Amino acid sequence: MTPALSRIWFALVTVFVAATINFFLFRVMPGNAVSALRCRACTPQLREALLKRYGLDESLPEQFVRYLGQLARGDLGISLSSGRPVWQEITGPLLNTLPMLIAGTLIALVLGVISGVVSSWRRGTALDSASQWTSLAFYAMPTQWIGLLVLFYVAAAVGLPAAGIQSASLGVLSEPSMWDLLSDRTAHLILPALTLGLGSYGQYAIIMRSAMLDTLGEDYILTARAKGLRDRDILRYHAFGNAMLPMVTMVALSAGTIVAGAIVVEDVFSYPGIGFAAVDAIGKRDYPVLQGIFLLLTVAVIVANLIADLIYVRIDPRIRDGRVAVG
Amino acid sequence: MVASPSGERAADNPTRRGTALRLIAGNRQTVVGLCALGAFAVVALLAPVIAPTPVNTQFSNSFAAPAAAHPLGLDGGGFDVLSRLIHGAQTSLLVGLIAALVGMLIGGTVGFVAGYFGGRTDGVLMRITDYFLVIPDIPLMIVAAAVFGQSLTNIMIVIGLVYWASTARLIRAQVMSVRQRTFVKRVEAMGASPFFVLTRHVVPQVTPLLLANTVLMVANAIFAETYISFLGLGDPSVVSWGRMIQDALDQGAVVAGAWWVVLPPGLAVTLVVLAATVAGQGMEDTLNPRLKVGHLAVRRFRVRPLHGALERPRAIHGALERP
Amino acid sequence: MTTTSTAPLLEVRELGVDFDIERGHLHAVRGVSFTLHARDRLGIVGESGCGKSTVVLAMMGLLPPNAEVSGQVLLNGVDILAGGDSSMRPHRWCDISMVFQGAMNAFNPVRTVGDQIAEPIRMHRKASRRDADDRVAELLDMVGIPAARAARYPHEFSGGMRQRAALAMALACGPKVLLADEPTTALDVIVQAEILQLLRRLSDDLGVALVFISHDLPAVAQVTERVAVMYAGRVIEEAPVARLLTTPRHPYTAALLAAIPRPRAAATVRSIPGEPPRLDTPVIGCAFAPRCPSVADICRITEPTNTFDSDGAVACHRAMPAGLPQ
Repeated sequence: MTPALSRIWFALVTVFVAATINFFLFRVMPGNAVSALRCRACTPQLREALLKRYGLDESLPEQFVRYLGQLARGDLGISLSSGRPVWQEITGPLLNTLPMLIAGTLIALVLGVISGVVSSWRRGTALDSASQWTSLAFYAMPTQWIGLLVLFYVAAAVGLPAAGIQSASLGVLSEPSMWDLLSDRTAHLILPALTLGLGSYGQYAIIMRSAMLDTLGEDYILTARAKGLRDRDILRYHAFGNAMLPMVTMVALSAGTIVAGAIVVEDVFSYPGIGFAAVDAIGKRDYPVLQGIFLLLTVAVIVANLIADLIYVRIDPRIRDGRVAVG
Repeated sequence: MVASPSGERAADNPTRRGTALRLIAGNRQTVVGLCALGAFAVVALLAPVIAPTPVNTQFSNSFAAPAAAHPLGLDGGGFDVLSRLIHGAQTSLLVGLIAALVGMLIGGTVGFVAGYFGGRTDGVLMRITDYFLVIPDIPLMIVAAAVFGQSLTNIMIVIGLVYWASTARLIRAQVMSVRQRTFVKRVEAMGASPFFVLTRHVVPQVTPLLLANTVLMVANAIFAETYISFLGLGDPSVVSWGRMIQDALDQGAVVAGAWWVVLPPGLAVTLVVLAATVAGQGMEDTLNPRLKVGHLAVRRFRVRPLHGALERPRAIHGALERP
Repeated sequence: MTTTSTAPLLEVRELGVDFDIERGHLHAVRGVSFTLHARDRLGIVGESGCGKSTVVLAMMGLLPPNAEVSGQVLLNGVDILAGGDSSMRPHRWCDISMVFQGAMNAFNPVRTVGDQIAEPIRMHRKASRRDADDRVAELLDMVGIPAARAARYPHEFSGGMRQRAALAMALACGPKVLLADEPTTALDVIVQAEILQLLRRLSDDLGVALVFISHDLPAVAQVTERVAVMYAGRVIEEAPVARLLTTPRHPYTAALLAAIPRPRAAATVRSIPGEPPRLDTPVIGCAFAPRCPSVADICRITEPTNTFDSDGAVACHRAMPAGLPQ
């Protein structure tokens, strides 16, 4: 099996494992099957339908098979609070989250790269220490707290909207244009994305600094200096490219923490994305939705890891040509 | 070039006391971090004694600004912020510690067994570890916490159950590296029982790393607890810092401009996590120093001017000058 | 040989390097001086740690920040060390360039070899991409590498080819002085011979002055005309290569020669007992005294100064008189 295929296979198995954990968590709850649904707003008919639906009257292995079958068809169950299919409940929020998530990751990347490069370039100076301490400090701060601070000190100051995804005033008087809609949406995602970026950049900064220092110690950097290149040219043409290779992996590996950050950020800013839906589901004890979101996020993170693995193989010419095993 | 000696840096068979002392006191970072953690731990232990008011006393004026009676003011529910902060320390630190211990126990055992026995056991265990490494931790914790209810004990176990994987990998690598070392093979060849090898050689080499990793995990666990509490999954009967942050949001502290409600809990978490991270990192550095040489630096070579030599006739000055 | 009437191309005067280390100071290089004219080929030999690599790194200003350099390096009469890094930069590569020890790693693994050879050309000479590529092809041809290889990555080159490529890169801007630090170490014997031949040819054809650093005295002898022998940071003997090989004057040089394994030699290989001195403590007397077979009392007290003769110099109290066989 080629390396690429084996990685894909691993990803699939991991998804399976996650789904299994999902299944057992739900079934393992104390109390009998029906009350375990903890469905507060359920009518008796809904409860009856759900029982049938989830086959809670069947044996455990049968339930598992049924569950897998449902998953394979993309059936994530039915929301206990709204009665609609789960996937219907989460596609909307998912689409809301994506732009914010991407923006936040980009902010984190930029901040992390700058911090790492500055630290390594000016190694041992006050700038290096300051940069490292700052990134460490932000890394230690709970993201939701950063969100509160942003709300407290930044939101009013810059006049950016601090809640929701769309201004209430939009579309009241007249039909909003595409441009209005877009700019309004963008304005709403700036603060959440900023918070997400600030909370997540610390790990990138550490890795970038480490990668840069490793790179700067290499012989070809000395050669570049001997050639008469200026420091900034050396950084740009030789050090940066090499240091970014491990960053690619890092971004994928950090998908999990970024997702976690997104959940709390959306809660703080009442941003109606998938994180907010999750918090909502927690509050309403809407387990199918919660588990559907969990599965979705897990699959997303696994796919991110997989993509990074596959990309890394392509961009490092040494691995691509199969010569050197890079540690 | 990067020079990274492995745990080989310790003498081949260090005395336990020697390593322990070096681990704790060998690095300025570690000392500072551990002292800070110690300070927090003291506060947490003495919480009922130090707190100005009992934690559940409710005063009438919510969002009162800091004053002599209430150094950190009152929150939206009329509770003394400082008291909540101190009691919260107890909860957060306890959760952090126990969860880290749970994680260390599971991770350490798995890593140990996998590293020591190798072969199929190792393969299977590592595969399981990999799954747990890839599956995002916070979402898993959220789901598990939502299912298992909101008692403090459950939270601690859930956090530990999710975070054990990276420890397992680390310990496995270390155990394997120790077993590979020549002196261990020699001892085994001499007929030493596995138990002997284990306790006298493997354990002393692995334990320091395990400890350093546990300290780092405490940071992660406190972080995780903050998340879980913030999302409403924490134990409703106790105060924790995560809970305080949630309350700050729910009670509208931001709108009310009550910075004394918003700042302290987050600051506390940040400081503790910082201390634990710094200490843990320092300990890992003591065990596994990484030296990096850089060819780019701010200060360049310095040139001292040639004093006096120029005055001397060229025939004498310089070894290879043609006279 | 060289004429003394023309002005020297490169003059190194009393070069000294001290490293600031945790324990104190490391006196890596002391009072090294030599002169080069165009087309001169000078070898510097010595054991590892004697300071020979440090000398050339110092000449190009490439030492780490904890190094303190004293002395002068005059290129066409101008001291290139005097102004610090920024004044040295324009001279790098175009006036004086270097082939490093272990050229395997001199190349950035994620960029093509051609790119990296062209880099200094485009920077120093402001050449266009087309012109630079032409020059790269020309250089590769000079060192015997097919021009098509320029688009390849370093890991696709064999060790010997990478060394040649490094040589081509070093000559990219047409330097007047080339410093070659152990260019043949880690290469097999046949490839070594090719590289040595290449060095000689390039120096002749291009008029480049060559400084050849090595611990391998026979290799140095094949390429250079004069050899300087270093020990513990100092040049202890300097002479034309033929004379050095037959009648060395310094006991250390003699010992080095004796240590070279010769086929069909009756005697076993004699290595030099003991170890080179640590350089963090100041040297009292001659640095070689503890290991010298001809040591006398004065050697332990006074450091020998240079004695000049008709074609060389030696720093030894017990130097063999010139003209006598070893």
